[in-house]
Amino acid sequence: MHKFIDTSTAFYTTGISPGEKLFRVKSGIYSNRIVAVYSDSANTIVYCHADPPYNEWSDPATITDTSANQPCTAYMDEDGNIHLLFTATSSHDLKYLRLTFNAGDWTVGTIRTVCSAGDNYYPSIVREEDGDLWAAWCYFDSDSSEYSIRVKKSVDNGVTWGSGPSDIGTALSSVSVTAGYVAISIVGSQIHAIYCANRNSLNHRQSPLSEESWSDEHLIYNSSQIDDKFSVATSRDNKIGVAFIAPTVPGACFKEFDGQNWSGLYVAEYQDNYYPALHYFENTPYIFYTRNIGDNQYAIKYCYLNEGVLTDTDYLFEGMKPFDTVFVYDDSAGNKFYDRTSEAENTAAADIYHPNSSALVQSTGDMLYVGMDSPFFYIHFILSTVGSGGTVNYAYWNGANWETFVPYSGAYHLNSSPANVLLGPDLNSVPLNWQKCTVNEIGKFWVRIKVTSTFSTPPVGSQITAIPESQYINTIANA
Amino acid sequence: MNTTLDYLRGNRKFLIKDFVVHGDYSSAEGGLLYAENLPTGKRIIFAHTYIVHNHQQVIFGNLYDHKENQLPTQLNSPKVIILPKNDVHCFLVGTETPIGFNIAKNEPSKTGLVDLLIIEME
Repeated sequence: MHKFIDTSTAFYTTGISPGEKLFRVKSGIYSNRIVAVYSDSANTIVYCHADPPYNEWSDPATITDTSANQPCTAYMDEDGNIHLLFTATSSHDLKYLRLTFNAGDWTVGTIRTVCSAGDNYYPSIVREEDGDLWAAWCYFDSDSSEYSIRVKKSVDNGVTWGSGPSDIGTALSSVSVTAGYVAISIVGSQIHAIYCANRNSLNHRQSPLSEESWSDEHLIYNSSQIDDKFSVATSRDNKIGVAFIAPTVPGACFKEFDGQNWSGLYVAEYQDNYYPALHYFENTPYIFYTRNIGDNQYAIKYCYLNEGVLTDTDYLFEGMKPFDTVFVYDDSAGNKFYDRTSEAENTAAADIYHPNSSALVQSTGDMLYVGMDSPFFYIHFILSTVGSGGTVNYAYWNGANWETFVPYSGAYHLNSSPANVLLGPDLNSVPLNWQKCTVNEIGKFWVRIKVTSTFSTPPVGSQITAIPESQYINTIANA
Repeated sequence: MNTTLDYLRGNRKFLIKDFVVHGDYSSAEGGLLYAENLPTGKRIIFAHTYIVHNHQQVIFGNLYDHKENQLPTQLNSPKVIILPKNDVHCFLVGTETPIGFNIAKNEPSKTGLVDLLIIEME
C-alpha cells in the first residue's frame, strides 16, 4: 500500500538517511500501532499514527514548533516512549524531548538542552536497557569554523546530558571544514558509531556501554561525497549493517560488521542511486534506495542479501516505475499505433512522437496510451515542445467503457514541462473499477490521453514515466 | 478493440512436464516513511509492503514443453496453471509477466513436482 498522509513545507521532511522517524509499538493492546515523526514545516515537528492496515492516519500532532529547518531523529523504547533530538531554531542548540506513551497516545514532555555550545546538527539517539540515553551529532565550533562528530550521555532520562549544556561531549572524529553525519546503535554491551565526518570516509568506532572508551577509528569505505547517504541497522543475531551510496562505485552499497570484522563490499547496482535505508527482517538485510531515472524522477528500489549474494534489484512498487508500454496513436495515419515504450523511459530529448505527425499527439482523436501491469497514480511528463491551443481528456477502462476523469492534480493539456499529473492522491486511491484491457493487442492497465481539440503547436515528448521524486526514506526502526 | 479476434489469435498452450519446484515462500513485512517532492509541495507517504523472497524465478525462454520445444522468450498475457504431481503444495507468487513467473512451495524440507500448463491468453 502507498498512502499519502500529509504535506510538508520543511526542507528535510522525513529526514536524512542516518536518522530514524518511523516506529512500531511492540506490545500491549496498541501493539503494531505505527507512529511517524516528521518535519511538517520549517520549525514544526509532528507525529501521527495508524493501526493495521494503516489506511487511516491520525491528524498530525505538534511535538514542537521551535525546531530549526534541519533534520531531527528519534528512538522508541520498549514501552513505546519516543525520545527525540532536534536542532533548535536560532540558537542551533541540540534539544531533547521525551514523548511518553500512555493509553495509545503520546504526551510531549519538557524540552531539555543536550548541547548549547556552538551549532549542532544531524543528531542520532539510542537508549540502553537501563534507560541511559546516548546522543551523537555534528558539532560546529563557531570560533574555529570546524565541524566534528560528538557523543554524550544522559543518566537521568534526558534531563542532564554529560556535565551540562555547555559540555560538547566526546569527539569521535577529527575536525573538518565540512559538516559530518553520524548514526549510533547498541549491540550487546557495546555502543557503535558509524559516521562520515569529511564527506568521503565512512568510519566506525565502538565503546563499552559500561565505561566510555572508544576504539580506534576503522575505515569502512572511502569514496567521495558519501555525506549523509548512509543508513545503519542491526540484526537479531547482533550484526551491524550499513547501506550507503558511494558515488565513486557508483551505486548503492552494503557492508556488514559481525562483531569482529567488516565484510567485503556488496554493490546493489551500478547506477545513480540516492537515499539509502537499511532494514533487517530477522537476520536478512534489505537495502532500499532510490534510483534516478531522469530529472525529478527517483524510483524506490530494493534488494536483499540471500546466501551471501545480493539479489537482483527490483522496484518496490509495481505501479511506480517506467511504463511497461507506451503507444502514440495518430488517427489519420495508416499505421495508427506506434510503440514508444523505450523512448518514454530514456532521457533522450524529442523522441516520443508519431512518425506521421512528428508529434506526441496533434489532432482531435489522436491519443497517447500509457500502460502497466499494475495500476498507477502518477505520470511525469518531460516535453521537448510544449503543446498549445489544444486540449486533451484522460480516461481509464472501467471494464465496459473508457471512463473520462479530471486528474486529482488538475487538468493538464500537455502545455507545460516538466509536469506532474496525479491521477489520485496515492496508489491506494486508484479507481476500484479500473481494469486491464487490450490496446493494440497489449493487455495493461491503461490511461488514455485523447485530443479533444486540435493543437496549434503540438507537443513532442522526451520522457514519460510513473515515477515521482521519492526522497528521505525511513524504514521502521524498531520492527 | 475486437475481443473475439483477440480470443482467436491468442491461446497458444504449452505443457511442461515434471517441473521441480525448489523455491520456498517467505515474506518480509515492512513499512516505509518517505517524501515525494513535487513542485506543488512535498508529500509525506507511508508505504506498507510485503516483500516475498526465496521463491523460484522461472523464465519462459528457459523452459521446454513436452515435445522438447523451447518456449518463446515472451508471451502475451500468460497464465500458468499448476498440476500437482506429488503431495507438496506449490503455488505462484505474484502474477505472471510476459517473460516469466515466480513459483514456490510451502514445505521447506521437501521438493515440489508439478506439470505446468502455460496458456497465452491474447
